[in-house]
Amino acid sequence: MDNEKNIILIVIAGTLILVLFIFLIVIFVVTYNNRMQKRISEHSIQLKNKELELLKSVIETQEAEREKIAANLHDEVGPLLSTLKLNVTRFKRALVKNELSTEQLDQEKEFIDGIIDNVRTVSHDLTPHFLLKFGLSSAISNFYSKIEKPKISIQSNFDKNEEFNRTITLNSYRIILELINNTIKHDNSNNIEINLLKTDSSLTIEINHDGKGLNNDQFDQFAKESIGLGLNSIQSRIVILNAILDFENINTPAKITLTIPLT
Amino acid sequence: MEDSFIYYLALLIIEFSIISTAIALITCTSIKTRVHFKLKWALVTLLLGSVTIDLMFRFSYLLPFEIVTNLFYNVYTIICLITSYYVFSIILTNKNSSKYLLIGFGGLIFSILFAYLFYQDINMESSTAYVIYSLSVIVLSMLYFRNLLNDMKVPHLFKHPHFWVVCGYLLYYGGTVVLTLFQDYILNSNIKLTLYLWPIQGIANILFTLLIIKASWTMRKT
Repeated sequence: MDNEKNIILIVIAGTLILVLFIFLIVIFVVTYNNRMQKRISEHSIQLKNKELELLKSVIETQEAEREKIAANLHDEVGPLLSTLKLNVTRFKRALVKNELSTEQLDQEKEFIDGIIDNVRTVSHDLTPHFLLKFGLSSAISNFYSKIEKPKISIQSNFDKNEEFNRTITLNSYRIILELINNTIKHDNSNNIEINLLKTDSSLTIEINHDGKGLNNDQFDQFAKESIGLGLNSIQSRIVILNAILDFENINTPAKITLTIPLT
Repeated sequence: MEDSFIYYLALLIIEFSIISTAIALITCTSIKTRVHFKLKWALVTLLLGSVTIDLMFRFSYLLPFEIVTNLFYNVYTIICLITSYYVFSIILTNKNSSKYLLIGFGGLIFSILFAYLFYQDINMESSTAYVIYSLSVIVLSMLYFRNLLNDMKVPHLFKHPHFWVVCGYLLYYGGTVVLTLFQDYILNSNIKLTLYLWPIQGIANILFTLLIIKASWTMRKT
């Protein structure tokens, strides 16, 4: 009889433990789902904030570029055109008095060439025609051809006339220029090597330089603190290209890798 | 009258348990996806062992030889130990502490079984080893839930096959650990009372196999 009681107690205990574990699993599922829900809502808020930040940085970058172009037109092209107008008025008077010489006209022609150069620079800032006409590799070579120090070399595994779509070409060009300008300005580099590598699925741009370089955390920190609009512009363009930008400064040379998906 | 009712009820549950294990085995074997290849075959081995031993005892009277019950149970424990620990080594990924625990428990149980099988009576059942094994599976299942809660990497718990597998393990071993602990006491007492033992085992086994079937269905979709 005692045996029977004991066994029944054991069976009841076993059943209760089974029920307890079922109860524990239910509690676990409820807790997990609540936490996950909370996490998802936090994540979506973070995502929205990030999107807003990016939008803000895109607008700021656009505004900065417009201001730069406006300043260029106002400070350089404007005065030159005013001077040209004065000169034309002076020449008119000289022509009436029959005092206009060919030398004066030649000087004026050089002056007009200067204005054309300035307009070309502004135009280049708006849309680099050279880039669209001759491709990424040639445009970068052309841009840095006049710079003696640091020494910049460019290699690519694809044809110079290789065409990428307009968004990739323009944005990657802007990112490369900004990165190289930063490297020259802040990293004191003497040698910069740019490698453009194309595969079926991606375009990888490697910038190796002998400056002090950055790591990913430092880049994020600078971009967060909005030190210079250049970094914000880089971040916005990376989002547009769905690209990955990676900084490494543990080894020499320091390395910047930009990977752009082509598909 | 009451005894015969319990007897038939126990028999019915055991039959259902064998059928559900066979269904789980078929469902698991028919998984085509390569993502859960290792898990699939570990579960197939476990279910195959379970269904073989169930059928062997159920239809032992048909066999031309006498079954040495305890020896088979010990071998079954080893099969369960290896396959279950392999399942947990797949499930408890990226956590060194979990791996050490897995190796520690496995080593302990294997040593006990080894001692029983080779130094003591080979036909003596090691319920100690089975209890430690059951407890270790409960601890590892809890560890899985803890890791899951800490990492929060699974967006949909019910679509995650590992979750169903671990639920199955927890319910089966959680539900049977007390019975296993007092197994010797129950078996040595009045034989009629052992009838209480098997329905609980059977229900826990049915729950386990149902959850494995659910895991197999989720594996198909991932």
